Amino acid sequence: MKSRSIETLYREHGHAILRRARRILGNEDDAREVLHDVFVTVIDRPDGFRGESSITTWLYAATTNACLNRLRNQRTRARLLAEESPGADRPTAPSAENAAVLRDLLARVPLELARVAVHLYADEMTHEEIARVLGCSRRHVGDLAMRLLESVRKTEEIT
Amino acid sequence: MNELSPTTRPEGCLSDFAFDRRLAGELDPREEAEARAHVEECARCASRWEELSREREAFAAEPLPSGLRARAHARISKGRLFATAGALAAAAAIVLAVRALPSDGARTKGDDVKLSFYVKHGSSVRLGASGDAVAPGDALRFVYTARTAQHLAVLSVDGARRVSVYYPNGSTAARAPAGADVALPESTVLDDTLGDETLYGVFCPEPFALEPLRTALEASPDRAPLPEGCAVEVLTMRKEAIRSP
Repeated sequence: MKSRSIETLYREHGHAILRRARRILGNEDDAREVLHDVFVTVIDRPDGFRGESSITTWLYAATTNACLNRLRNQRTRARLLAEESPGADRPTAPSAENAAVLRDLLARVPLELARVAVHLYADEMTHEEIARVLGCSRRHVGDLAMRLLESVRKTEEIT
Repeated sequence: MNELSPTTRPEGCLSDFAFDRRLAGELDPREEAEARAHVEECARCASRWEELSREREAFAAEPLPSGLRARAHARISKGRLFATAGALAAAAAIVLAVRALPSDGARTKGDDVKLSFYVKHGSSVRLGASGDAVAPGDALRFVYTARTAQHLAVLSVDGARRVSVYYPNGSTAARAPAGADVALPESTVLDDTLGDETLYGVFCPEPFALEPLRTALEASPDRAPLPEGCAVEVLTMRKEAIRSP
């Protein structure tokens, strides 16, 4: 992928990566690092995007995975939870408390359920949209959503 | 644990994902017409559309960070699409230790496929070996070899006997073109569940659904899922807490 293309991609899509990472991780520094990490992936593995989905769809998935990797890293998670704060201005995003609950959830449930949780609660996407990003059927998204709720309930019973 | 609040987005209103696709010009004619009509009549969505449009404009004024620009130039000048071995290590490829398991007749590994992995621990990257220990927070990067094109999935049973699909996303296995030491996209960071974790790399010549395999593993975590005509590479690792100095 040519340098100019990378720059174009960055200018046209970076805003969405940064916005979502801020919302998921709750702070600017980590969000900026995710933005950097996603574009390192784009540069180092241009074959990763095979044109099977749109650029936006692919970047949504890459951003989600980069954020989840950070959250599920124990040391990072401990730091983020200790720093929990209302975060950046998000007029239509979930409340700060909701975001903190979500981050705790994302670090604990199985990875595939965490992806769905991001799209349901942070992105507020429809099941059809989630299916597009995950590359699966809408029905499978529904199944994953049910399993997510069961996983949350089981955790609440134990704690 | 506090419950998550339900979505704040009213029924019928557009998600940020829809807006981002619209900003990128990715909506098809029908979707674009519907989005335009909705934004014209919905104050909430009209406001959000304006906000995201301004956000995109403001961000577009930012230059590509110099580090990324240099990296892109270096990639172009090398004339290669894939990282060199050293760069692959720098990209935190993860090596999985491959531990030979006693044969119990339940696992089958084809000669034409292989799954291995690299482990990134802190700033160091290593190729794992049989019996190696890994730690929570370590990042794994799977690498496969296949003489012929396959469909591949990697599933895991962790120390708490929980089953996860590490690769790919979605409901069906991913296409894996023939090749040697092909790195799978993205790394996986290990969580803090300690104990022995078993990884199953399932290679099939035809596409296969993941849910039946996941269900089978949940029912029998110690039994490798083996669809007919497929090969399974079984790997284990021992996840241990990081010892304090």
